[in-house]
This record gives sequence, structure tokens and C-alpha cells, in this order.
Amino acid sequence: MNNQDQLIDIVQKIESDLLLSNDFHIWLQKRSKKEKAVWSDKIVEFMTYRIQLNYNILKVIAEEFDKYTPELKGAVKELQDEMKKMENFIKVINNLTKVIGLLTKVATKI
Amino acid sequence: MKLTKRTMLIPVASLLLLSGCAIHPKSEYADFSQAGSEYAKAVDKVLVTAEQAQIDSTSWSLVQVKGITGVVSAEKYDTLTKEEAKLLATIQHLRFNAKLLADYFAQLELLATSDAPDQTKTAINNLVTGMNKLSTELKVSSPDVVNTLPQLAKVVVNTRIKAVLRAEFEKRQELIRTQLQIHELLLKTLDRQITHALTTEAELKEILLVKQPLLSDKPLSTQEDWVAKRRAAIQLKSTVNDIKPAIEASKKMRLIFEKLLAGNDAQSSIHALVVEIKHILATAHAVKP
Repeated sequence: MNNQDQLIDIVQKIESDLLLSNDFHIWLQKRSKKEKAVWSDKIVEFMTYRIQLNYNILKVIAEEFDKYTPELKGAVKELQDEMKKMENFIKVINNLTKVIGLLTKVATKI
Repeated sequence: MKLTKRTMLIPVASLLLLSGCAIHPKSEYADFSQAGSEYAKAVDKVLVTAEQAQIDSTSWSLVQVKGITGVVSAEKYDTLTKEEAKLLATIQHLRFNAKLLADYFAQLELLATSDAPDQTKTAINNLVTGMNKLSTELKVSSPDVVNTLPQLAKVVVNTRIKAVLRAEFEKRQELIRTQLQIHELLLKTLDRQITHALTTEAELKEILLVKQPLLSDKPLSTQEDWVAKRRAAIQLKSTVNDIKPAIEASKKMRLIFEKLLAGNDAQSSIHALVVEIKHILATAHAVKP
């Protein structure tokens, strides 16, 4: 487990076990209006921090994928080309059949 | 030595048979490609689930904060939304990556299930019929070998497809392996994020929609509605574990791929994985329809 993973685990645990806990909410409800406003800001900030951490981790993974995007696109193109080659081969045979059909018509007249 | 049709065809047929034996049956590649397409779809669905679960859990947390403190600052909310938008954009980016992998497997599947061998056989059949007709008109005999061409062409094209598929797997083995390894990491990360988001959402729903109305002095507004909300909150908790098999799917895909490369029979593992992937899709859909 790397540092980012450990950090996100700690942050999620604080959020679940403390900020969302019933005891904390009961304690918070007894605070003054001013204190509540301060705590409200702190909790939203903490949620923002958790979102940032999730974003950072996913961004690194997305960048890792991006390294291989050109190669993957190239592979799709090559496979499409291979399919086209086969279709063209069949087209050539069909055209040849048509030419032979015409030759047969000419031969019948001779 | 007189060359008969049979003596001419034996070396060609033997060669084709040998080349066919050295590689997997086409159906195994087709099955793997199909599993790959289904797998990419499942990854996409898990990404969508992660996106929805994170939005919902954040929304429920904000509802909770507002309920307890009575206030949420506009500035703090805007900062949170801005960060959330970045996270959602990255999830969309990852969906694009998953789509590209799906395109690759779909193209492989198209090739593996192509009817080009039969189409070629039909086309050459027509050609041979035409040639025989022409020979009759010109009063010349057509070579015996010509009549065996359609079947031979079908085998040749079939073998060609198998060889292309095999070569593709050999050539791209590092790419496919790496993609699946990154997917393992992605799914592990998503599992952690989804689990947290769903657990948070379920707990908050239970507090806000179930506990608070029940424990308050006021009567429940609608009893049936309360029962339904309680059931939904409790069931949401239990679905968290259902999403876990998704993490294993990429690992299994990679192991099957290694089996294919090593020339081992992988068909039963592929079929089992396809069933599992369909279950993951259904579960993800049930969690966040």
C-alpha cells in the first residue's frame, strides 16, 4: 500500500468514524451558532480534501493509460485493415467471376 | 512421375493442417475477445457507478452538515463543487480509456467471428462454376485441381485469420498485459472509493430518513414510505460487498490471457469469467441504476 492509499484510508476513516458519527453530531448540535458555522466550513473543507485525494489517485491512473493510447489506437486500425484486406480479396474474386461470365457470353457467340 | 489432383493437394493440405494445429481454435480467440468486450463494458459501468456514488454521498453529507449546523458557506460549497468537477472529468477520461479497450476487443471479436472463410468459399465456388462453363464453351478441359479450390480457399482464409489472431496476441502481449495490470489498480481504487461512498450514503440515509423521524416526538408522516426508506438504506449497505468481484475480473482476464499465450486450454475459464462479468454488470446496475 503506497502513501496515497494510506492517506485516503485515514481520511475516509476520519470522515466515517468522526465527522459522520452520532456522538459528534450530538456534540455539534449543542454548540453556539458561530461555532456551528466554523465546524460546517471545516467539514466541507475536509470533504473537499477527500475528493481531491480521490481525484489525484485517479488522475495518475488515467495518465498511465494515456501512455498506451496511441499503441491501442494503432492496434485497432491494424485489425480494421486486416478485415478490409479480406473483404477486398473477396471483391477481387467476385469481379473475376464477372469477367469470366462476360468471356463466356463472348465465347457462346463465337 | 504423373501428378494427379490427389498428389498435388496432399502437401498443401498437410501444410494447412500442421499450421492449424500449431495454434488455438479460432473459437477460443473469439471467446476471449468476447470476454474482453464484456469486461470493458463492466469496467465502464463500474466507473459510472463510482461517479454516481461519489456525487450522491457528497450530496447526502452536505444535507447532513446543513441539518446540524444550519448553514453551509457558498464559498466552501463552490470550492467543493470545483474539485468534484475535476474528479468527474477524470472519471470520464477513464471511461474513454475503457472504451478504447472495448473497441480493440470488439475488433478482435469481429475478426475471430468473421464469415470471410465462407464468403471466400462461395466467391471461389462461383468463379469455378464460371470457369467450367467457359471451358465447356471453348471446348477445353479445365484442370481437376480447380474444382477443389473453394474448399481449399476456405481453409486458407480460416488459417490466415487464426494466424493473424495469434500474431496479434503475440505482438500485443505487453500492451494487453499492461492494460489489464493498470485496470487491476483502477478497479482496486474504485472499489475503495465506491465502498466509502456507498457506506457513507447508506449511513446518512439511515440517520436522516430513518432514525431522525423515528426518534423524534412527531409521528411518521407516511408509515409505508418510512418502511421503504429503511429497507433501501439497509439494502444499500449490503450491496457494497457485491461490487467486490469486479476487482478480481481484471486479474482473471490477465491469467486467461497468459493461458492463451502459453497454449493452454482456457475455454472453460473464459466462459466462467463471462458469467461473472455479467453478474458484475447486473450488480453495478442494481447499486446505481
